[in-house]
Amino acid sequence: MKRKKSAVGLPALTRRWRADVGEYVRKLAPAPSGGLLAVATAADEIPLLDAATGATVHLLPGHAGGVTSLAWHPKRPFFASTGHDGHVRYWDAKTGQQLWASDTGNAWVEQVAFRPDGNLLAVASGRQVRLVQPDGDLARVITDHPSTVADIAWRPDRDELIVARYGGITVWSPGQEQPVKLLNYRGSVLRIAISPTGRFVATADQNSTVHFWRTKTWQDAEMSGYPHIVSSLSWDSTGRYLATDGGEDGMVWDCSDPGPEGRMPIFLKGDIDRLTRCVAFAPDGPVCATAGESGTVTINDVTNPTRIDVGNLGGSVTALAWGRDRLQLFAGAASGQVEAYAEH
Amino acid sequence: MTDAKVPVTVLTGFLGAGKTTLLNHLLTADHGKRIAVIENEYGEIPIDHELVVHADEELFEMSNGCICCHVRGDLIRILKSLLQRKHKFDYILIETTGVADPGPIAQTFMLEPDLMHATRLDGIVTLVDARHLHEHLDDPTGEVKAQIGFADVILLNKTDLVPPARIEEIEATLRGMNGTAKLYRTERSVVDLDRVLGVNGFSLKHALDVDAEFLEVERSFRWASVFALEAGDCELTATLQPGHLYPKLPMCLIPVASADRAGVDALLDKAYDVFHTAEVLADAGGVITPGDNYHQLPVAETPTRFVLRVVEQGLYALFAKYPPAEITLELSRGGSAVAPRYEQRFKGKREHGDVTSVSLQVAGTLDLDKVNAWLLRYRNERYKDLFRYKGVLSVNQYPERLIVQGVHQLVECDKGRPWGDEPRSSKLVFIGRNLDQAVLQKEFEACS
Repeated sequence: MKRKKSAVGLPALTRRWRADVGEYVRKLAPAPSGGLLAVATAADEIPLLDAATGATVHLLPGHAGGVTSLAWHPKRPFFASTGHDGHVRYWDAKTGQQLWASDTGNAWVEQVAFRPDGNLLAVASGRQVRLVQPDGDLARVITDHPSTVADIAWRPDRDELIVARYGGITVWSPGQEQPVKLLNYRGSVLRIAISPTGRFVATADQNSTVHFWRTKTWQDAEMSGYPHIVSSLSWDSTGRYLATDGGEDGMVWDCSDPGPEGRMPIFLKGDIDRLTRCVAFAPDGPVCATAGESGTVTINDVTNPTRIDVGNLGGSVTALAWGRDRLQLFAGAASGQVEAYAEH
Repeated sequence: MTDAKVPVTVLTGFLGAGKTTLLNHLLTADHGKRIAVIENEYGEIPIDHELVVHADEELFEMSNGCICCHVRGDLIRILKSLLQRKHKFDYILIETTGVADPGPIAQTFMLEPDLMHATRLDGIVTLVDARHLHEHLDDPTGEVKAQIGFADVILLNKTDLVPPARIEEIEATLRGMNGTAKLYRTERSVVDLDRVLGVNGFSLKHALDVDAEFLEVERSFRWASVFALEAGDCELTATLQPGHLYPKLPMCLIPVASADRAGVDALLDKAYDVFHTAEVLADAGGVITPGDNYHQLPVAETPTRFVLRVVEQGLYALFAKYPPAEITLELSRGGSAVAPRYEQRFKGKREHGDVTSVSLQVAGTLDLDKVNAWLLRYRNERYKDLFRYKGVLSVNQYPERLIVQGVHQLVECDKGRPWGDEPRSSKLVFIGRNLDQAVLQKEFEACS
């Protein structure tokens, strides 16, 4: 890919469009094949925006009470959504039609994640994780968790699902009755991000720490000292860097050998007295976008920390995502504003 | 700014105390408010309410400087998600399981920055089952006592199933355990909404508006004596007995129909009202008059004399906060003693459980450094036993009142109204386990 570079090695992104989806943006999910951006907000509906113009292509009815999570099928123009109506729903992005809906029996469904091959969906609802086939048939219900499941993630390198819960993480294999691994930790795990190589599972924890679990040995290392709870984790495409929020500045851990332990993080400069809330590495290269309470959206070269401001949403930014088809960055705010930035 | 914060009410009470019935009542009453409910994991709201979320009562440790305490992770997650909705509800109600400790819930709202910004803990409402309170107080986990100790509002429920005399006794027990909570009798959990929502139990600003009253702990009585009195003046002598450090004796004198138990029992509601609602009557010239007058007699170990002025001859019941073993009262007329015709003891806090509320008072001004050091040491030593504490202090550096409130080890302070020409004094109330009033009062006084 040929790319125009700024003086410091960063792409020259400028704002392409702005849209207002009305309510707190929880998640921005660009379609893997490009063209569309699905938006999860605290409102019931799911706006499906044209990624190039910001125009609303479909406004799907979504979930009564608000939408919590979205997951695109890796290869097909379908995506799953979860929400505060207790359902997981599956949509055809082309027609805007709901293909199926499945009731979990709980009031809230928190997360949904597609297995990388696209043949199984994991859905977190209360203490359960449900494995659902893309045709809507329930394959399995895993109930064996001591508390509400906060996050789920599939390993890219093998058929395992990692579950964040109170008191640690649990590793499941879809075909295996018993957990592959129970990894205990005295706090509550909130977020999971698995490195693209599968070497590390990074978790963000309620007590303002980040943990790195090495999947080879399942040994863990704790990174403490965060002024605030970390809510956003992002790996770069090579699996070397993990970016986090958790303070005024974004923080990046270098996980190349011998690992992140004992190293100082790289600081991505934020705005004074305003927390960074979102971090997102670009699809390739050492470029990390950050944004937060100040409303400013920045991109940073983590190998030579330099910040370039690409836009400002005027209020707290709550979601960031990079488009996959070409270098395009989306940002969503608590106010319901969504912006897209791209190279000229 | 404060008004933009969503008020949160915590509903506690042992299993079977009537929490679900109260919730139903709150949700279905015609108040035009939208209420989000966070139910405990076993909770089952049988009505169709759109905003019900189940919580896991998941405790974890959170540190704030040198203080580590438990907070509720499940509530943090759920509340953050709820708060992302725009204009969707006016109140949040959190229903706990019967055995939940309210401490970590309160601490969650005092420590989690995002929640501090967007919500305010309005109050802890504890439902007590009048039929089974004494069994519940014997519960080995001690959580019922903690729930009573933490309460801003106590609803004594199922009073229709218990004889009235028994209710008086239960109320005395509850008052002894928590003297600052509002106490209401209810049947089938029916209560006015404004008694449980919008009570401002954790608001320093509110405390500061009403600080004349909010620390009047234990305005209940533990002793009644009935005297036959002629019209005219007689002399009342009060003497503080060694080992007790009460600066004042709260009391009132009410005409009574007969010098026996029936006579006194018929006055209990009235005396209770006087102790709880009447303004303190300034003891100008040390003259005590009968009726709806609430007195606080200054007492000391040397006998203090007061004039009891009776207009109409008759029988009078004297209700006193402390029994004669702690503060003796002697009545005389023209040099000869007037003996009581009848005396009655009410069960006080010392006979019930180990949770008490202790009220401390010191006239004048305290030394800020001393009071800081004392409070810091005391709460570091005893934080597990300290449920709630509230105080209005006069300290040397401040022209304003200093308002203090705490939960376990966490403390919040704010400046209150200026003292101006008003007489300065400091009051502090502790609610917790195994608190020693005499020792605390002495230590509080040593801060001046």
